[in-house]
Amino acid sequence: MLRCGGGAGALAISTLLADSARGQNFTQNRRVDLMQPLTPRQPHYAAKAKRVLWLFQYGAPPSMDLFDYKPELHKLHGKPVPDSIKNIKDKVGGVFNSSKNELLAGSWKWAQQGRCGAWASELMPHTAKHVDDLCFIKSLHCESSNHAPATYQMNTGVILGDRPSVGSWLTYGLGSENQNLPAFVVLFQVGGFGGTANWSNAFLPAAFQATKFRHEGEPVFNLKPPAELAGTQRDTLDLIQSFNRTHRDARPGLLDLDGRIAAYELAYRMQAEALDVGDLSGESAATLELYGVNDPKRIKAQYGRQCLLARRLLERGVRVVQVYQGVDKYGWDGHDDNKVYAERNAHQTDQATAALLTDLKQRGLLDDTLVVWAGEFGRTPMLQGGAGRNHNPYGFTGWLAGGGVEGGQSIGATDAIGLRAEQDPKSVKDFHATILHALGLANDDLFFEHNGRPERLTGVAGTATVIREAFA
Amino acid sequence: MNARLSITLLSLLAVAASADPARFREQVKPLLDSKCVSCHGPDKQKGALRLDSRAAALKGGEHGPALVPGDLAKSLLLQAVRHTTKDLAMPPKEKLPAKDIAALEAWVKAGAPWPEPVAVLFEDEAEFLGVLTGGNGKARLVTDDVFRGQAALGMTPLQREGPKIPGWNFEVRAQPAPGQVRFMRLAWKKRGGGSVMIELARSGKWPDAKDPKGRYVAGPNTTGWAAISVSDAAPTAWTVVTVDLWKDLGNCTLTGLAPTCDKGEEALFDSVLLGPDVASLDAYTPGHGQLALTVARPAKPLGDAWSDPENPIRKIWRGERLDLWSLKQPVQPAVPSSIGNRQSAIGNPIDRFLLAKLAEKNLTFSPEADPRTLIRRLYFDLLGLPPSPEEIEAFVRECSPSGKRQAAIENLADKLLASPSYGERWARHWLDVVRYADSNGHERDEFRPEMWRYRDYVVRSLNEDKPYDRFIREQLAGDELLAAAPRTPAEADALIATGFLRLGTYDSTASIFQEDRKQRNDLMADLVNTTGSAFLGLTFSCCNCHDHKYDPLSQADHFRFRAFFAAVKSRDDLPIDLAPEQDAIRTHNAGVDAKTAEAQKAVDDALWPARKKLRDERIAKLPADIQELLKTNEIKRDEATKKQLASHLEKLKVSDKDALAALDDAGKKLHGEAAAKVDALKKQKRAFTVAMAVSEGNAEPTKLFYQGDFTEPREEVQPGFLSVLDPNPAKVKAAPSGTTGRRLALAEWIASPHNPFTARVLVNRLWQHHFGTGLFANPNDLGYAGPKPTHPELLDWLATEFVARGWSVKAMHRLMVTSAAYRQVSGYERARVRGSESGAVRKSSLSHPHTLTPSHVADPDNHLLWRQTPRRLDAETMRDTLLAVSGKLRPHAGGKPLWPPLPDEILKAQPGVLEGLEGKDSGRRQGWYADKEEDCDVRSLYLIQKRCVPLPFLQVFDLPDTSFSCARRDVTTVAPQALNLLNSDFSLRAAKALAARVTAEAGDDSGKQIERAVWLTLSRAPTATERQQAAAFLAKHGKTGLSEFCRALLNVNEFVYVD
Repeated sequence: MLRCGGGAGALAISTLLADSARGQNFTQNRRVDLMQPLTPRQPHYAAKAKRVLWLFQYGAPPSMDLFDYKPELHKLHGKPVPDSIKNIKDKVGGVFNSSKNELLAGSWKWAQQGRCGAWASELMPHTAKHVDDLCFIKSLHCESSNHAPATYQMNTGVILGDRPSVGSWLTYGLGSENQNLPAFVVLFQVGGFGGTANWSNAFLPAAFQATKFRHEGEPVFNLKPPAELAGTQRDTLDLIQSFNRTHRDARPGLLDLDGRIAAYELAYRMQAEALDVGDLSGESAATLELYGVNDPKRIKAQYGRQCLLARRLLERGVRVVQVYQGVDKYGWDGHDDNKVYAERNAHQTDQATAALLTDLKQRGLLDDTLVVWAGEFGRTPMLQGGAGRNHNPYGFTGWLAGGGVEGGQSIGATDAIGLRAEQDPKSVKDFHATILHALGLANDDLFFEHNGRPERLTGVAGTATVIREAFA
Repeated sequence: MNARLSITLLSLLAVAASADPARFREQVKPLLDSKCVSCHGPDKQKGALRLDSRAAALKGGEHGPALVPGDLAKSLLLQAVRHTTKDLAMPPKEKLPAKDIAALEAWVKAGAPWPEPVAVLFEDEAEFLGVLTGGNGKARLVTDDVFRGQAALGMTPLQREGPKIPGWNFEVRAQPAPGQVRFMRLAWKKRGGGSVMIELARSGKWPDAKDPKGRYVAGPNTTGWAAISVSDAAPTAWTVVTVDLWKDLGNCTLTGLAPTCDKGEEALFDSVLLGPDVASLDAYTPGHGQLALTVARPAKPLGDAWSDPENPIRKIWRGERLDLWSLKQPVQPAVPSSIGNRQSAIGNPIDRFLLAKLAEKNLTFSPEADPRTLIRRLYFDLLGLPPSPEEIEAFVRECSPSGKRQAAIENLADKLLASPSYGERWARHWLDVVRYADSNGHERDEFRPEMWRYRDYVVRSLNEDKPYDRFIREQLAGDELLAAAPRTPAEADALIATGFLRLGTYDSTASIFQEDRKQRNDLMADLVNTTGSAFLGLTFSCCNCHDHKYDPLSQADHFRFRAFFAAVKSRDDLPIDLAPEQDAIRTHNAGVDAKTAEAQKAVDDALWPARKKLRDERIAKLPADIQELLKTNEIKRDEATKKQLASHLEKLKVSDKDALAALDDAGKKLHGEAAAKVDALKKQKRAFTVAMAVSEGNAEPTKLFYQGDFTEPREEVQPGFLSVLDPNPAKVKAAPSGTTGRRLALAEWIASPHNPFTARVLVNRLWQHHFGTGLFANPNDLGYAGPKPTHPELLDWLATEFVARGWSVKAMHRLMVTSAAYRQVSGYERARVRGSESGAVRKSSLSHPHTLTPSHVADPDNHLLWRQTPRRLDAETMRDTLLAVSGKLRPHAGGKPLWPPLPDEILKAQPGVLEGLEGKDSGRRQGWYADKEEDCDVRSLYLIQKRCVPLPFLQVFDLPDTSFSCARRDVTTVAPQALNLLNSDFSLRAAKALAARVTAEAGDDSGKQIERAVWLTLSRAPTATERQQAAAFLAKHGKTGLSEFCRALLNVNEFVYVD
């Protein structure tokens, strides 16, 4: 619908006024001008984090082989699951049926790291050096044992894949600080299970959908015309705008038309800016080395390049960047051989993940950038098949860093074998509320009225609790 | 009946819990019955208050609780009888005597003990028959010989039983707390000798056969089950028995019973009471009391929320929320006669309604748009495609002189509504509403190879102008309409239509981790939510977990709706060939099967020599005694021999493979020929044409889920419509198909002319697409949270007119697009005259000072429709128009979707697609099956809609998510749209094709080329300035100039906006 409002440039998408006659307690949607939907908006309250980087570990990493040290599991290796744990029935069910009743402890060495003394295995030695900046949440749990529903939930709050993603909510809430670049960027070699619904705007306006940023070639699809037209581009644009102005002048008050005129200029500027982001030639050899951009292992090098691109996007004011680690289409999903999958994913991502933390910190960007590391769920301490681990939605680890988060701490805990969140369980809703909180958005107040319901990232029921202890 | 020979098996000492029940029975109860219950009882409920049970008195009425045990001041009953306030003086005419008031006070002070049974059964036998689900005896209603009330239960040998009676969960305790029980009383009688017995189930289990506890018998017990004997002789007259359950059974939970007739003709049972003490049983009077746990359903059906205080929605909302406008069935309002100063000219009722409202503010319509604007608007609205320059010219001629304009517009509307492109355009709107897609979504996102039949069905239905009520019935219950295989294409369409019920997302991995129940819960919720949104404009998604927060809908309503879908069975293989064809295929295949069996015999024969040889060789290697045994007659072998031989016989079996290898060359040739014949025959089998649709299986019980959590099932729910309108279970008749008829019942209710929502929702959808905004702005929500209608009378007029015109969608289109309202200019009157017609080009600036018109001042958001609303082309129309103007659009008759080639990088967004592309999807069709680029130059409707890989060109222009019903697309403006329309391969190809077309049609003259290109894209001639600019552009850019000019035209605002 083209709205031809009287003067006010900013029109609420769908305004529900508090209406005492109806006895309802609506507050308003965020006011968004659909013609300039990415204009920066104030958070609900002052916060340190201005942007988010999510290193999405799809396929589900085995927490108990990376950061969730379980000495008891090592003692019980090869033995059945203790009855005290096995006899607890769970609503989700299923995982026990398709796993063996035999515990598997990884063969990797563990050591305490940093000033805080957090345990980490030798799988991610570079990341382990940053534990003083990391806030581990070791008691995450989610609602499905299957990849797509759980990946949807981790990204959108609900297992159905029909809700806006965290990145869409954040850009809806805050707009973007750089109008010449997309506000929400996703980088992948292979995306997460369930595909584009993981970075979808769903019922939010399309302006809040993610843009795929490519790590090779033109950084954004359709960014430039073919080479033979490069020379005429400005003239073509001028001609378009000339037609547009004539058309617009005959239709005063139709603000959409101005918006579209502006969008064409913005697209033109985006060409330069996006190309600039994608051009790594200005980066020092030391930086390229740090990220492993030229590593002989192709996938590792590409992930390094994606992480470096992520930093370049963030420092230009892009609000949300999500990187899927993308080793292959199965990610961390080590059903048949835990060792192979864990080592492959860890080795190919560890260096660049650590590089990002180092680089953001030395550029002073870590203070106002929230870094999130988590996958859709974790893996079972029980054996599956000959050498694998199965899906585990009951308890798994993610970490936060930067953006006001207090590093060097660990929140919540799983049971003795790392199967289920036992102490201080944190739901995905809590996790999302915490991310919003880091950026100054109150999860209960960030909503969008859709089909009669005030929808929120954390659900209409309002049961999310911010993990406040994560913040300094 | 009078024969009350009470045999009491217990001491009559009252249970300690109830203090002095005698006072209640002797003083209070008679007082309440004589002075209060006539106005506050079963017959009348003044002030919504009843005083015929403790529960009702505690709950109270409009003023609050009548009774607060122990609290004289808060008990309104006492305030009333004391006549402390004038408004609340009871009884109204005459104050009670002081001693009666004192008795009431003493009673309340003592905690208001009110003995009454906790549960009463057998007062509504029809209900009771239904809860006795097992056993061999026949249960019947006895009405000519009852102990009390209208009917008793008659039972023939041996018994009917229900170990878990719904609502039964009575805890038996020594000192029962509220809701708990200790004593049971019942009346029984035996005809024709034998004995009468009652069995009690505890926690769902019957007592052990040897344990007498839990069975009571009167007469000689021949059942073989131990029982506590109540009397040696069976009662030949109605006899009341009271038992102390706790004494006999101890603490336990009573969940069911079995009335038993041991020998003889019939045992009769009546009035089973459970209560905390004997006084409570004594206090029972049939017909009185609202007993919270009574199983019996109310004797009379409940009424709607306006008429019946017992209506559950009225109770939830305490009578509020019943003023919701959409709940009232629309009644056709009179067309306004006074419509300002233009009334003589206006015949279309739409205009009269709109003008009447405008006239209230001294406003009127804007002038009519010029014919060129009108034809463009009509083409895009009705067909989603632009008119050709020739069609424009012809129409402009037809419109002159202006007196002929109305007829010209009507002709054009008729012509467009008759075009097959109309169905393609409007199917797209409907597919948004029903969340259409060609794949499952989720991790694997498998292709749905037959879903397109539903899409084509929608196109066909619209083009045929299928009555909307039929369209509804087919989609919800097309299969239930047919008694047999379809006999006509229309009947086959009814089957295809049920694809509507398959359009939701589906996760085929759910079963891997036993998440089927969760998945089913999601699917059922999705069916209810989408049905509610699409047909009724109701937000059922809001009451999946709790009662609706804004609208008079309850959580039970959500589950009542689910129950209509309880028997839905997904079918990917539903044959839709017409009946004779299906028969022919079956006959043909049976013939082939017979021939195949024959041919197979030849194969077996060919193998026989080798098989025999191998077997003999194997036998020869067996021990001698076994060889001997093998020679015995197979049929006459004893068990021991059979057992001994079993493992050897297994090893003697010769596989086809081994036999084949052992054949000599001649044998192999023979076998090869025979096997080839079998293969050839198998290929002759014919497949049915199938649709992805549903059929009706067995209805699983539908249970309400506490807080929407499927692991917390609660009471069973019967199919029912909105409780606010009709809280009783829906009357469901078996359908013509012989199936449950549940969906058909729902479809009939929705498609009824009396349904208050259906017609309003549909006419509003049409209105929205013709006028930019609906008469109520959120077409999927006509509840409290949705905006109220701007023109309620017009909406109701249209809704009733729609029904009166046989639910004809085309008739409504025609009415709307031929109205004067539709034909108004969309811009601002003053500026239009100065701007476009003078051809003046003003300097650009982002703010344009202009004078506001009075209409604009009075109604800036155009709620009153004083002008039309300009619109941006939606994603598909934009793409289709690019193809149309460049001459590339291929006509397409429907069928399987086309897959445009996409870059690998985009497909990699979804690991499931990669699995498919690499052939690792076990044939599940998870991949991307690209067609040739040019084959995909068809209307976007026919392109693949894969849930996890939306087509990028469409997605960027606000393509809706296919997970839920979308009533209204957003229109956003962002830079990536510009990049797509400027630089995508698709746009560049269109620009080149347009340039080629222009050259072909206009020749080499650049002036003519410019003229033609502008006409094709913008439906008008270029202005002088534009000619100049374009000529300069062409001159400067030489070879690429024309296609670049065309590319520019495909990007200008005028191309993508319709005035």
